[in-house]
Amino acid sequence: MTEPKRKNSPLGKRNRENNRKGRTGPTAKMTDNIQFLLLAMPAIVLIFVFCYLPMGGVVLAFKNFNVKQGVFGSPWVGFKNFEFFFTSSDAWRVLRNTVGLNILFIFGKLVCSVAFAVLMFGIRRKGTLKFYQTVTIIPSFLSWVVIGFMAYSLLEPTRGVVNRLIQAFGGDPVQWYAVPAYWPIILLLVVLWQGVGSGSIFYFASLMGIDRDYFEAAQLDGATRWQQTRYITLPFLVPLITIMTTLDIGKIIRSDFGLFYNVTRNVGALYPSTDVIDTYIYRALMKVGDIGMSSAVGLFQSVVGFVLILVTNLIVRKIEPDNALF
Amino acid sequence: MKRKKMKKLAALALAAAMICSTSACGNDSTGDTGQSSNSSNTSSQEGNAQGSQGSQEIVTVKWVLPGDPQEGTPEVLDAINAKLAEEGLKLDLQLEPFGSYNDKMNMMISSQEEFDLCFTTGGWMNFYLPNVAKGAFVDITDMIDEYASDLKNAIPDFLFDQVKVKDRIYAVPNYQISYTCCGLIAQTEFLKKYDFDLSTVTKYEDLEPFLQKIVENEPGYYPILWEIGTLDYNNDYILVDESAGIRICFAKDDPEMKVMFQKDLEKQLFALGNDWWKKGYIRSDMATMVDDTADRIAGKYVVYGGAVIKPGGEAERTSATKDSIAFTQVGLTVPFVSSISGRSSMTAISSSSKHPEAAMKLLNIVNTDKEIFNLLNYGLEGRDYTKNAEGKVVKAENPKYFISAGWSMGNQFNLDLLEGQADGVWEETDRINREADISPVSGFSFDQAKVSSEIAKIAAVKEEYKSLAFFDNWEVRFDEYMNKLDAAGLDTYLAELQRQLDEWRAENL
Repeated sequence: MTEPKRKNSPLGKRNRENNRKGRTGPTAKMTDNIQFLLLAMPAIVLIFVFCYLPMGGVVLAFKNFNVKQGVFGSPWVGFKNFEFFFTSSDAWRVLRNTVGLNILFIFGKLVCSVAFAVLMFGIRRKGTLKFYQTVTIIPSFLSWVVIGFMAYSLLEPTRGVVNRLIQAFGGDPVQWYAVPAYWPIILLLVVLWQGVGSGSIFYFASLMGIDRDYFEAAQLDGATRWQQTRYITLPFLVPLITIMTTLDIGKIIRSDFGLFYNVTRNVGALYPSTDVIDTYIYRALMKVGDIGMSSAVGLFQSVVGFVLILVTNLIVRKIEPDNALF
Repeated sequence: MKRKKMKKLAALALAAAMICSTSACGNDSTGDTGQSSNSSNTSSQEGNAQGSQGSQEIVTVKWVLPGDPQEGTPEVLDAINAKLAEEGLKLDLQLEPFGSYNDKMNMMISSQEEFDLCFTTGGWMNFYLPNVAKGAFVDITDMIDEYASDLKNAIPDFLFDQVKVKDRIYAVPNYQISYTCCGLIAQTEFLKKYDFDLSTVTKYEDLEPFLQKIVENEPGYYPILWEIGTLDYNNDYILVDESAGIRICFAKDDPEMKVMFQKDLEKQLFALGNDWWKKGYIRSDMATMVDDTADRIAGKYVVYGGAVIKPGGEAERTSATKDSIAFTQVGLTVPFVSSISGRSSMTAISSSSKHPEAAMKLLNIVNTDKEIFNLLNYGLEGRDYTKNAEGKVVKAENPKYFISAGWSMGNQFNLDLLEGQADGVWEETDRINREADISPVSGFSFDQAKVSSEIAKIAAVKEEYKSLAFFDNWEVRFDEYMNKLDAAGLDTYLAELQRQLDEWRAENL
């Protein structure tokens, strides 16, 4: 956690006060910021425990894991663990699905979250605003298992709500769980329903920081609502949009196992469009339970994600250095 | 000044509260085993306390079994431990639901969590061979002779041969039915109602008239539960391996023992499955059905296809339904002991165990002491079950503990009979076990190491197409299935299996 350096921040002010009193150095800063450090502590501890500590396990990707000899004592096997995934005839399919669906999700979520945040920004009555926000954010607290069953109750071939509606209007029922072509759209809708509420919060918070004077000035000059959005609101959001998208691109080769496993009910017929790296690995290694092979794929995902973040950031920095992550 | 201090304090308190709440969340999520883990904590503490008080040290043996956690576990364990105390042992039972048992064991083994005993199988859950390869189980070859001679005498020797890996034993076979006889189990009430004699059925097609009547007259029931893959037992072929989820066998009369995957048989089964699905014999949502436990308990299936047929099997089914529905069964194949039947249900000692000898002693007791074994299965008499006039076990209306799965714990033949089980079923099963034909490759064990990536790929393909029969365009996708199996390295896998089988044959036959 780096300490904010902005001139007007209360922290900076307090530090200057401290300096005047003669208390300097990192310890003084530490004690002074102890509340903030404590607030950040849980997150830091979680990241350390779940993201940094397990990194040592990366070596498993190159080992023939043996419980008795442990992570570091097991024999090395070079790149043998990588063979399984990269020689698989499904490797191309799952890579394509993972990346393709993620691009769809990133783009869809971005557009809808920003649009929703802008719409919320236009609401003046506080009660109404809170109502909309609460309603849209609730789905993000549901587990994928629950969402999977909700989708099933809609799409079930004979008793599902959607097919009943179709029949009520005289159409033929659709076998949703047998046709892969529908699923990119169904999954996109599910992801949007689940994530737009919480996704738009960041953008909404950012919008709250815009000085209302800009809008008043624009209104005096006769700018329409659309023009205000186009020339004031959106430009303000660009840095945040860039950061969020860069972070999402880093995760483009990972996939939310819960989403793809539960919402599709793991139906084999849908795999052509719904099988992603994580579900494939689960299926293949469920029987064998080989940690080496799964670590190999995990390492591959991490490395690709890391490279993608670096590249995206590089591109962002070339275009607009202020918006880059680092 | 004062106000500033207050603010600071409030912030600190808030921060502290947040830390506490996150750690509380952590507790909640790890405590998903709920009761069982709680009870295990307390019981192990008790164990320690007792151990330090008594002159003889009492060793706690932790056993992880598949099954729904039972409310009345502590009392049952108390009753068992009262008996075990004189042997210096104490049992701590952890029950994991069947649906999550496999994942749970994978986690516990990979993280080397300390436990002593677990349930393991060759091809169903908590897989034996991969775990042996990982070093997860203790080599108990010598320990059996030393600590469990009673156990060894109670079980036919061929079972121990079958669980051997490179001549070493890593698990004790749970003695149950060893031969396989595959067939049908149907609800007696409907058989009577439609005047259908199940014993006239010799092949699955013979069942169609009966299923048709159910479709026409019994809405709300599913005529047959058919799990593809459990049906394809065949009298003319001998099963060698199913580590990739597909059944590899050779023809009974083939002296060369040429291994193969029976594509034609697979196709026939899919064709029949699809036909029945279209006719409404199989539930329409078969492909998307995830968990049908509730339907089984409610007795929604009129016929179970591809079921294992054994003496007393009907009564077992009856006790698993809510309304004690009566069943009738018929066997369609000749009783036969396959080369890996000993691996269908085993108990292994974990390499994370601190006292494997105590675990072995406990296994010996559980497998030979009828009283303890019945407690473990049926709970406390009076509370969880009663005995009827014939001395048979009748499940209480709301038992607090009733597992009734002897096959997952040890020697099933030590169990008291359930209501509806004919006298002498265990003796009968034991007799057929010892008399049935045994596979000519009994004792052969396939070492997967060289083809593990092929096996993983094949397993993924098999999973993808497992419910293929329940779609309209199954034939097109069947060809795709076969092509993908080939692409996944089926031939490489078969060649390696053949090589090892030939080697084994040269040495042993």
